[in-house]
Amino acid sequence: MSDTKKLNKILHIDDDNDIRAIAKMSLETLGGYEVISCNSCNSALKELENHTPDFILIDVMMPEIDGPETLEIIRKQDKFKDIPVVFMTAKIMDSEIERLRQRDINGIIKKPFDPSELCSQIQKIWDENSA
Amino acid sequence: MDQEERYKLRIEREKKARKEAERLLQEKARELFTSNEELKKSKDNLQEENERRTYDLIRVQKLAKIASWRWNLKKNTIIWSTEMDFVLELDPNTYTNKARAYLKKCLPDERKRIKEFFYNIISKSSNNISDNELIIEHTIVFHQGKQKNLRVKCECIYDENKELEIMLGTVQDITEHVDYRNQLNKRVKELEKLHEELVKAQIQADLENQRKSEFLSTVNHELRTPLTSIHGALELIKMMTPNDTKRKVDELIDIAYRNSHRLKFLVNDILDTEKIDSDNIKFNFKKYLITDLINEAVELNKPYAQKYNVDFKITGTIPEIYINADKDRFFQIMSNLLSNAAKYSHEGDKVDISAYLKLNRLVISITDYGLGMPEEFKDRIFTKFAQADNSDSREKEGTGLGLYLTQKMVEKHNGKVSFKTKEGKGTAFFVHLPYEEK
Repeated sequence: MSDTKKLNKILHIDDDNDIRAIAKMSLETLGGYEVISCNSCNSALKELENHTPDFILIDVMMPEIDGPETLEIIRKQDKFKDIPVVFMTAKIMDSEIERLRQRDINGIIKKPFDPSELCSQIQKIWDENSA
Repeated sequence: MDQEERYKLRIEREKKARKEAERLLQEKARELFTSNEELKKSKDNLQEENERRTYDLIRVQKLAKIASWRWNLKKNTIIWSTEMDFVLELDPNTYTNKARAYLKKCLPDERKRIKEFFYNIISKSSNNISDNELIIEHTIVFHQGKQKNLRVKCECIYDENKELEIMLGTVQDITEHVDYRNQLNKRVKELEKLHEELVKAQIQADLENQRKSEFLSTVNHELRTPLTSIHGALELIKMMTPNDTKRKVDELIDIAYRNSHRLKFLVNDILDTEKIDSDNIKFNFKKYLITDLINEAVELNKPYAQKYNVDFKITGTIPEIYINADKDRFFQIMSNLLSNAAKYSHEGDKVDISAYLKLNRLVISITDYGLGMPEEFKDRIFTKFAQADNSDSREKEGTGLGLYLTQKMVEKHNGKVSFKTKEGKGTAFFVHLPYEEK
């Protein structure tokens, strides 16, 4: 990752319409990022054919293909091997968080999240990853 | 010395010699007597010792309840100790053939087994027989069902041609031992059963804990999901500037409202689930005319029909019978089934509601012609949060507890719920309830 590159495009995958809307509004309005919202792994894979995001947010509990599986599928593509990925989850019990940390991710954001803090949380992870 | 003197001297010597001979004779006679006495005494001692040994042997055999026997195969004679008569409870004056007297005490199956046991020993050569083959345990029976357990042990003596000449051994009364062994086995089995039950209980408790932990985790997740939208929407509204559009504000208010509604239902269903699981839910049963209940339930759920643009249609005639029901819970059951039917119908579809009597039960059926259920979902529709990982359901505002609660509440009404479904064709739910004639 180049240390000069600025975080711009974020891909957000979550099956909950309202959470997607809130996240999109927060990140676009408050952070000035460009957000691509997808409701499933499959729709994200379609978007990834045409877009190359800088950062990916993935909900953990999703139907059919869940967050960790989605991560694995995306990571298989060479160009997304090193892209920063953060899990967003409402499964916040210690054992669940510990299990998620074993995955190839750059952070975990717990739900409910504060829209005002979401941007700074993501930016921090981006900066750490770029350093 | 003259002749007479010599004669006198000779007589004197002869007298002396005779005297000495008499003395020696007396001494020998005394010795012989003593020796004879000692011999007699020794004989007596030997006899006494022999008697004592025999007595001891009998006493020891009695104490140990062990009889001894000896079977001379060449002469075909059997001798056995007195204890055998005690063990077999036989009067020695009432039998002549020992083998027959022994076998007579056994039931036919045991008799056969004992004969086979001896045939086996006789048929084998000295180096071809194992220790186990020289021991047999069997039962003998007496009048009035009394029985004893005996253990027979054998030893074989072979002649110079290596042919079996003599068999000797013991017969021990092991009734007490067998009783003890049986009691011990029974106790062991009881303990094994107890252990098995404990293991089962432990597994059950572990499963229950796991289920509780999973439930807690899912509840946590399900509560946090709408809360994320509510919290997020409200915070975004709070941060809005006068430049933000009304449309954006309205959208956020809608999100907050929709999710607070979802949260309300979720909290109610979680509380009901907890109450019903801990059997802490009170049902106020009263007798109601089923026609009234169904009509009222359909009327109450009309907003769902309107929301999803479907038509709730009562088909056929509802029988004029009574059911014992908790009215509120009955409406909750109907509401869960009717709202599900509406949610999963295609727009403009109808939902058929009917009631009929079948096999001494009232059956209320609610049929939609909508999405139907996928095959893999059928087995778990009545489990908690069965649809938690189903996107369709989430979009359709389910709490994931509705059908679980429906089934539990119907069971509290002494009824059951069944269903038929076909993906793409629709689903029919049937509530089977006991009823009373008018």
